Amino acid sequence: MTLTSNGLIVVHENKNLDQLGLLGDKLNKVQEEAERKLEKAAPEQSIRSGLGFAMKIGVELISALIVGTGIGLLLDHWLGTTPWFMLLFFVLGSVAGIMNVYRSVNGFGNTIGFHPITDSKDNGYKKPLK
Amino acid sequence: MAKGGNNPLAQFEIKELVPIQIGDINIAFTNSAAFMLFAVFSISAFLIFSMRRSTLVPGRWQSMAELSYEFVANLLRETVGNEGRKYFPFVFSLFMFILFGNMIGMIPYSFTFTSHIAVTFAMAVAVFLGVTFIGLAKHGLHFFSFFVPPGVSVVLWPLMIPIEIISYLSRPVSLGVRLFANLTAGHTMLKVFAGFVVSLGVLGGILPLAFVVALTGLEVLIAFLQAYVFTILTCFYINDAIHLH
Repeated sequence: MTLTSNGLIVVHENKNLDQLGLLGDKLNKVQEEAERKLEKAAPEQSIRSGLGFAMKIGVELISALIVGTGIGLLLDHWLGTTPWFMLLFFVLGSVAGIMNVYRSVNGFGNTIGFHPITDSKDNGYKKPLK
Repeated sequence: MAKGGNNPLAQFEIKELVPIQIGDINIAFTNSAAFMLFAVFSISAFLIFSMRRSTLVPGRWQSMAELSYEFVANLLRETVGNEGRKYFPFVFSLFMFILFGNMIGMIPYSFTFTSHIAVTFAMAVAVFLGVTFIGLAKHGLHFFSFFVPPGVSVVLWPLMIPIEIISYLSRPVSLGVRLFANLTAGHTMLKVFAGFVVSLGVLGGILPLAFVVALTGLEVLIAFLQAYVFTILTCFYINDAIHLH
């Protein structure tokens, strides 16, 4: 330590730097702890969205089948072609139902068409919901 | 057991409280409508009274109101992004209405209006039509490119386009049926097991009673979860209509 005022200031700055370093360490610790807590909380959240997911998926399969068969029956009714349109749309409906489920499971979201989700903001399942 | 005796489905019966008839149309004020009004009033009361004396450090009620607001806001932000902001009032109302409907239904002797497919399907169709109109208004005829899956050869288009259209049309059905089916099944199951408690007497009734207690907890979870699922799917649909991929 020098006795000049300049020297003292230098010492002070070193002290401040030390304190800053300490503060940085403290902040890092707090941050790590918060991250650990978040990780701990994550399974619970995945259960919640997982349950939501399970609720979603079963009906998805059936509803497309119902809509498909319904369209077929209506077309038959109008055109008098019983039962051909019903049979055709029954198959199309079941395909649509399976595609619905496939898309949801693969994380394509609920979009129509085979569009993989490119931006992450799109996906409610991959990201933990805050 | 309500007035319906041993019938577990008696709880879903629609009763006309104030019969109103206009021409051939029966628009009677029913118990279903009464509970919908009750839900709307309780939501308004909850939000207005808990935010009346709002402070920087929120109290219990204010916390609850802010929590529900933030929950829906985050849901919308994460699924739709910033463009979703203007649909927040609609999504929030939808969430609160379904949530309160489900929760009011958990009170014994009350009526669960979300256990009627007429109600849930009407809400689902409203969402579906709204989202379709948003898509059409935003993208015009380009909206119909939605039904043409990219990367599929033209030969397969006649097969793929009907499938995509069916897939799209099945949205309101699955949205409405899911809420209705879960609520109806849950409430019926509760009533059936509660009936066992009565018919098995004091000794034999303990087991089903424990089951009813557990099921009630599960039903509260499902009541929340179904409101959540309906809301997040609405958000997904809005996102699809806005961004079209």
